[in-house]
This record gives sequence, C-alpha cells and structure tokens, in this order.
Amino acid sequence: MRISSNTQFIASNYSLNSNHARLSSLNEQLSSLKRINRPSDDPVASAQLINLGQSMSRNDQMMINTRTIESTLALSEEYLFRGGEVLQSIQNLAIQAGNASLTDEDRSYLRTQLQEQVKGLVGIANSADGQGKYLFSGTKSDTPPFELTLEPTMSIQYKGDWQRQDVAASASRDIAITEPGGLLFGASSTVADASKPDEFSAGNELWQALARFDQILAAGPNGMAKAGPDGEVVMNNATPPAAVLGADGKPMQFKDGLPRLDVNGAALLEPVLDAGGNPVLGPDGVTPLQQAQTKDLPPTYDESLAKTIEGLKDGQEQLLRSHTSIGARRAEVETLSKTGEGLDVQYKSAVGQLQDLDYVQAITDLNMAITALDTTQKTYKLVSELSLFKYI
Amino acid sequence: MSIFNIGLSGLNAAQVALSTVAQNVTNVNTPGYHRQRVSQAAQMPSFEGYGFVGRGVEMTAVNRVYNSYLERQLTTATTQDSKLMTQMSYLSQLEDLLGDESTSLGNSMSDLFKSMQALNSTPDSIPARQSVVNSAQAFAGRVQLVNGRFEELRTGINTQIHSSVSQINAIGKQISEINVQIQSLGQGAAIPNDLMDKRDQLVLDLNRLVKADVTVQSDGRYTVSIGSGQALVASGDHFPLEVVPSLEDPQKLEIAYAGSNGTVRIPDRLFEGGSLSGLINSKAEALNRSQADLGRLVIEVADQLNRQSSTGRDLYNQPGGDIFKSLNAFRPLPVGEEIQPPTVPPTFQTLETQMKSYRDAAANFAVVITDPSKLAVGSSLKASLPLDGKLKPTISSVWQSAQGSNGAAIPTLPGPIELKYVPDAKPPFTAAGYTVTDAPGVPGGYVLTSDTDPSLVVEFKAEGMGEDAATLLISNKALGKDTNSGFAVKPEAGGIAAMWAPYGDTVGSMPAAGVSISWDGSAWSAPAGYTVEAANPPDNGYRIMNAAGEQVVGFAANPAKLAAGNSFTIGSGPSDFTPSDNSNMLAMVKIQTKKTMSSTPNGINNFHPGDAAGKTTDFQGFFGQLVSFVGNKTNEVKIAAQAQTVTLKETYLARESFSGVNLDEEAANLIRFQQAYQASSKVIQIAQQVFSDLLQMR
Repeated sequence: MRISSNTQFIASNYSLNSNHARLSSLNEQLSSLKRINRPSDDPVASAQLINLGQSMSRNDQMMINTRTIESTLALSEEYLFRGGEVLQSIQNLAIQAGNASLTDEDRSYLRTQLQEQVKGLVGIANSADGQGKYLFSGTKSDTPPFELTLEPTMSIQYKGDWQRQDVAASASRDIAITEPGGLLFGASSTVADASKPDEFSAGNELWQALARFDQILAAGPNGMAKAGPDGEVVMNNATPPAAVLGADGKPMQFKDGLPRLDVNGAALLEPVLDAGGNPVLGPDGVTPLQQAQTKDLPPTYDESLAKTIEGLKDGQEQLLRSHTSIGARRAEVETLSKTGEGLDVQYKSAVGQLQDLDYVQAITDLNMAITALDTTQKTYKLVSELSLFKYI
Repeated sequence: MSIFNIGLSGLNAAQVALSTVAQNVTNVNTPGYHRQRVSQAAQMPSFEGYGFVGRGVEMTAVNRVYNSYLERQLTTATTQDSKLMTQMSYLSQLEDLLGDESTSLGNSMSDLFKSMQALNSTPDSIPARQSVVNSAQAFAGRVQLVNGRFEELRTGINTQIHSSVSQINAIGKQISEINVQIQSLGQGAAIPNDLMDKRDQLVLDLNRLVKADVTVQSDGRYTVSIGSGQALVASGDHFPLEVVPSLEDPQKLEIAYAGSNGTVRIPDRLFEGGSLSGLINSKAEALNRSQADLGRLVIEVADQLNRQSSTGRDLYNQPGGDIFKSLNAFRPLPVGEEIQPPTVPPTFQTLETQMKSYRDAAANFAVVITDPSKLAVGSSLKASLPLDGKLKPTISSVWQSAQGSNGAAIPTLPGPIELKYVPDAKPPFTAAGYTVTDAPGVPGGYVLTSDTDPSLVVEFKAEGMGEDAATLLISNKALGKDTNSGFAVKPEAGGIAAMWAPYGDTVGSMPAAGVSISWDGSAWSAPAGYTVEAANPPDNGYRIMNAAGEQVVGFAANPAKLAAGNSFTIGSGPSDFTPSDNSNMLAMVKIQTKKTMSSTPNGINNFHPGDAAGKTTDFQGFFGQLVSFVGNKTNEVKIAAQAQTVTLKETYLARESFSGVNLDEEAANLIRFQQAYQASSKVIQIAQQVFSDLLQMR
C-alpha cells in the first residue's frame, strides 16, 4: 500500500484521540468511583437507579417515621400505665367502701378521696405531648379530651373525636400513633337509662362506674333501698300501720330480703293479678292482695357497690387492652424499623451493583490505556522524524 | 543542432517535473489537494532516410491523481460523521442535564414527597408545613432550571441552523462562481487541477453541513442538489436556502428553498446528513421528546396533587386550594385529533401545536400556595359513632380520594353517607348508592365508590367491629375553626343522633340562639321562619330550612329514643376542626407510587399517548423512562459516531494513500528530476563543446 505523509499523521491522530478518550473516561470513573457517570453509560441501569433513588428516599423517611411513632406511642403507654395505677387505688377505695362499719362521715372522706383520684385520672387522660397537643383527643388535638364536673353529680364527657392520626411506617403499613380517649377510657359517664343506674354501657364502664361510685358514697346505705328484715311482718304505710296480706290472704312476712324497702323505708309491693290481669281482692273484698316486687328493684348500696367494683374492673381491663394494643404497635414498629434498615442495606447494595466500579479492572485498564497512549506518542515522534529531506 | 533541441526539451521536461514536485511538496498540507503527476512522451522522431532519429521529450499533461469512487466515499463518510458529531454534542448536553445528580429532577421530586411524609407525623406544625412548601418550590425551581436549559439548547440549535444555512449559501455561491470560471475556459479546454481541487474541497465542506449530491455536466461543470433533488447550484446559478418561521408555530424554524419556481419549504425529514441534519434531528428526536415529557410530567404532577388537595381541609378548616398552578389548560391532544370545541373548518392537533402546549406548560409550572397553613392535610369528611351511641364499630379515619385525571371534575359528597354495618358479611358494610370494597393491602380499610358518574370515592378505616349491626354516618365537616363553627343539640343523648353541615350551594346561617324543634310523634314542628323537611339518606334524616329556602343544618333522629312531645334545640357547637387529622396528606403521599403516567409513544411525530392509554408508571418511573430514552439515544449515537469516525478515518486514509503527497517520494523525485536536469544540461554542454570543437578546427 502506498503511504502518504498525511497517512502517518491521520492514523496517529486517531490513535492519540481514541487513547485520550479512553483515558479520560477511565479517569472519570476512577475519580467518581462510579461505573455509570451519565445515562448513556448504561441507560437501563440509569432508569433503575432513579427508581431506586425514590425507594431509598421513601425508606429513609419511613425510618425517621418509625422513630416518631415509637416515641409518641411510648408517651401514650407511659400515661396509660400511670392511669392504671390511679385506677388501682380507686379500686382499693371501692373495697374500703364496702366495709359495713363505715359511718356516713367516713364515706364523705372516701368521697373526697375518690374525687381527688378521679381528678388525677382525668388529668392523665387529658395529658398533652411536648408540643401541647392532647394525646387522647383523637385528631381534635387542640381540645382537652375529657370534661369533668363534680357537682351536683360527677360527670365526665369525651369531647374529642374518634379518628386516629396515622403515620406510614413502611411502604404498605400506616400505624396509628394516637388513640382516641373515648375508646381508651369511655365516652360518657351518663348511663343510657337513668332509672337503671347500675346498667353500664359497653365501653363506658369506667366513667359510669366512677360516677355511680360517687353517687352511692354521697347517698350511703341509708340513702338507698335496703333489703327487708327477714321474719318480720310486712306493714303498710297507713296510720296506724297494718299488716299487708300476701297472695295466700295471710299477713306477709319478709323473706330473703323481699319485699325490698325503698329510701323512705316503705316496702316495695305490687298487687297480685289473676289470669285476666285484674287485681285479686282480699277477704274484705276491697283491699287487693299484695306480693313482693321482684322486677326493676332499686339497687341497694351493696349491690351498687358490687356493680361499681365490677365496672371499675371492666374499665381497667379496657385500659389494659388498649395498653396491650399500643405495646403490640410498638413491637410492630420496631420490626418495621429493622425491616427498613434491612431494606436500606439492600437498596444500597442494589445501587452498588448497578453503579459501583470494578476498581481492579479499572486500574488495570488505566495502566493499559496509559501504556497505549505512551507508546502511540513515542511511535509518532519516531516515525515523524524520518524524512528523506534530512539527507539531501 | 538537434542535440541542442533534444537537451533543451529534456531540460524543460525536468524543470516542469521539478516544479510539479515543488507544487506537491508545498501543498502537502493543503486540504483537498491531490498530488500531481507530469506525463511526458518521446517527441515524434524525424526520418532521416536511414531511419528515425529521436527529437527529444515532450510534456503531454500535468494530471492530478484522482479517484472519483474514493472521493464519493469520503464525501458520504464526512456527511454522516458531521451529522453524528453534531447530534452527539447536543445529546451529551441533554443527558448531562437530565442525568446529573445535582440537577436531577428525580431527587427533587423525592424530596417533595419526603417532606410531605414527614409532615404526617406533625400535621399542624408550621415548620413541617413550611418545609413542604419549600420543597415544592425547590421542585418547581428545578423544573424551571431544566426547562430553561432545554430552551437554551433550542435557541442554540436554531442559531446554528441559521449559521449553517448561511455557510451553505456561501459555499453554493463559490461553487457556482467556479462553474462560471470553467465555462469561460471554453468547451473542451482542460480545467486547471487546483481549481478542481478547490471545487471538490468546497463540495466536501458543503457535505459537512448538509448531504449534497453532485452531477458532473458534460462540460465539467457541477450541479449540486440537496434534499430530494433541490438544486443548490445549477450551471452558473446559485439558489440560496432561507430559514423561515413555520406557519404553525412561528418559534419553529423551517428551511425553504428559493428555486426557480418560487420559495418552497423543504420538509425536515429530507435532510439526511451533515450538521444541519444533525441539528434538526437532535431537536426532533431528543429535545422535543424531552421537553414534551417534562411538560406532560408537570401537568400531571400539578393536576394529581391539586386534585387530592381540593378534597382536604387546611389549618383554617377551609377546603384545600391548589398547590401548583393548574396546567390543565395546556393539555394538548394526540397529534391528528380534532381540537374541541369543533371549529369550521375543523382544526387538528399538530406536532407543532402539541410541542407549544408542552413547552408552555413546563414554563408555567409554579407553586401557588404561599401560606403553609393552607396545605390541605386534613380530611373534609367526618364519621359519627354508631347512631345508637355505642362505640362499635369505630371509623378511625375517613377521607375522599380524588380519582381520575386530565382535570376532570371531582364530585363532592352530595349528602351524608349512611353506612350500615352488617356483622360477618364480606365486606361488612353497605351503603345505599355506593359500592363497598376492601381497600387492597390495608387491614380494616374500605373503599366506598358511588354509583354516579364521575364516581365519588371515599376511603375509610374501621375497627372494633363488634357483633351488633350498627349504622354510622359519614358527612362533611362544618367549615371554620371557630369554637362554635360546628353543631350541638340540647338536651344531649336524646332522640337526635347526629348532625351535619349543610350540603350543596344553598347554605343558611345558624341563628345565635339555635333552632328549637319538637316531635309530635309523626312530624317535626319548627319555629316561624324555619321548616323541617325529610332528607334521605340517611333513614330518619331531616334538614332544617330557613325562610329563604337555605339549609341550616341536617340531622338524623334516633327513633328508639324519640318520643312524642320531645323537643330539642340545635345550635352552634364545638368546631369540627381536627388539627391532627392527616388523612388527606396520607392520600396525597400515596400519589408518589400511584400509576399516573402512560409511556410516551416512540417516534418523533407525536408525544401524547392519548387519554385511553393505560397508566403504567408513577412520576419517578416516567422520569426514569425519559432519562433512559435520552441515555439510549446518546448511547446509540455515541456508538454510531465511534463507528463513523473509524469509517471516516479509513476512507480518508484510502484517499490519502491514493492521492496524498508522500514527502519522501517527492524528495526522491526531486533528486531524480534534478539528475535529469543535470543530464540534459550536460547534453547541451556536450553539444556546445562539439560545436566549439568544430569551430576551432581551422
């Protein structure tokens, strides 16, 4: 092949250029320690890196979120624990109140103690976090969740809402960081039917039992219905009192506490009815025969106290359940947080696999490229020095 | 005598050969120079009776060493190389812009959603809200930066198109001038080698700018044509190109040809090689697609976030407003579709008008929310406890999910939803007029979809299901965060189970003293100026209307507790404002991973996949597709350019090896012709000596 003088120059120029380009690309890779420095280096991996970037950024935020969730739940748990302690001492009061030797004065002391304890319990239920937001008012965090009035009768009403604040703890799991106080403690101390003060509604047992406890302490056994004295003859409230005739037409005797005496000491009776629903008259043909009332009896102090103790126990169980549910959430958050950390490592290793440089390979390549460039330069210099003109 | 002549002819021949060598040596680096060779031949001998006696040497020609096949190869390789190099320079700018981490749109988009996610832990914190506004502004700023660079590239390309066209015209003019010179030499005359070299070099230079075909006329003149045969140079005439604004979009440039039949626009696709085609292709293939994708992305980001925002409540307990400026007015149609409303004659979407819409959209992308309190983090809906006052089940959060896209209207709740809990059913809720489904992947989550079109979608989470059937109400929160902006009834815990804010446009105000109503066993009676009318749903639902026919409040009666003679006063009550409610923001954050985008169609004639196209990816994935597209394109051009560089080198070397000057060869020729010159001189010297010897013989 014929060679022109420019052939040398063109060929060397091309080699020098391509060697330089190779060297500069290796240099860039080695200084950034990345295999991919621009999308065209690996278009598919570049798109994957962008998606991984989003996943990593989300996962970072999730890990921050898990810490927030954990600390908020820990705060709620702490307050619930203290609420449980107060409730325990209220239950002790209820057991004391059952002591038959208590005087009305003793009971008024107990009532004062109870009211102080309830104030404490409602105070705990109205706790706020570090930023002054109420923990237990649902999403209405600017409103104190419970309103307590002591006089004339104890009343506790929930003023928050029933919604929760959820925070994402992982891509697919939102965790509630607040618990509406209405679900923890109850919504209202008002019973559904005022004539049955001991029938507490589900979920509201705690407040209703406390309000009832306050009522019976105020009333005392003497201010409430009582069991009839067994063996004695039941007398009516006429003047002078006369014996009441029972269903058998003979004077009725108290038996098994029945008939019950109301607050004023009057026996609670109801007329005996025949099959047609008409009162059966006594031997005088005027006075209806009576029998002891057995349904819808007004409760006695002891009965109400027993219901109260039961209600307090239900309330404490409800609190404990919520406590457990918060604990379970904390445990879940901890797991999710660990999962997040694991994911972070996986994402980083995926990014690494996509864009990390094979140092050994790159350095070897760099050495080869340097050698090639060096050789090209030397060859060019030597060859370009050859000229016949030197010799003529 | 003839010895003198013969020597002289040899001397002349050697001199011509030496000057040709000198010409070759001096032009060793002249672009387009072809080495020249002298052709010589023995002169016609003279007959002297005994035979023929030589008469010396004569010069027949000075030729350039030229191979038209090699030249054509070089021209083709040059025009391709120049096209690819031009494309490469713009594509690498584009990929640096999109791929660089510090300017990456992807990161700034992730940051926006990250700050929204962070706000979910402290929904009423002003600093956390401010951080969302700031990241939204940072994202909009990044979009403006990228779009600004796109516009700069576009301007750069347009400027270069202008200058390329004027260079093409200058070269065309020079070729036509050479044609005139050649013509003036007359028919059949030899054309000077250096003039031909100059003209061939001009053709090569022209091909660097635009692919041009050359036809050699019988008299040696060139006809140069470009595109699909538009003659740039014909004989001595030159028809210049012009850059004219497109008829559809004045900002788009087209190349027109001022031929003999008036100005003709040359379609872009007819330019195949040269930097001009590289410029046109960079714009059409990569820049247009990138800018259209950016425009489409921000239209969708603004629409999706604004839609969800509009269903929420801000920190003033008012409906949420736009976060980003709405870009729905810029939404174009796929190319070829008729623009609505129809016009006479009908107008159709063209690529130019489509591009203009996308460019305008990207340029207009901005954050409109300034007050961080106005971020709609909370839900506009609330759920009541079961109407009988029990605690089970409880709805722990409820929000409206903004469906659809393309700026379609979002329906608002037309009235309270009466949600009936049916224990043990799957799903355990029913609501008249709505379909209830389980929310995928959310334990205790349900989705209510209305039977209307467009459908209203409400999502809620319920828990503590219980064993008893129950009825709950989902209704709008009353607006405003004043202490008395909601509703309350006295006496409580009676026959009225729930109250809700009025629905619809006709909203009347609640008098300060409230409205007292009473139930006579079959109907409600209201004070003068007010009426109570039934409102279904829910069952036993009513609303109080004032004299002006405006709704004051809606309420649901609880028949189990309602007795004839009961009376109630419904008045203002505690506000429905819930500062820690973040359910709307939770729904907004989910947009990050929602499939909201369809892939851009491949090709260069349409960048809108059509509204019917399936949504296949989320925002980030869509941006990834764009980066991958530009990366692939760059990679493709890079590889082609590398291959073309090698091809160019090889064809260049082939031409050089055939036509190029070799200095060593010329040096050898120099000696050779010098010796020939010396020898011829010697011949003359000998002849002179012979002659003088003759003269001295006296």
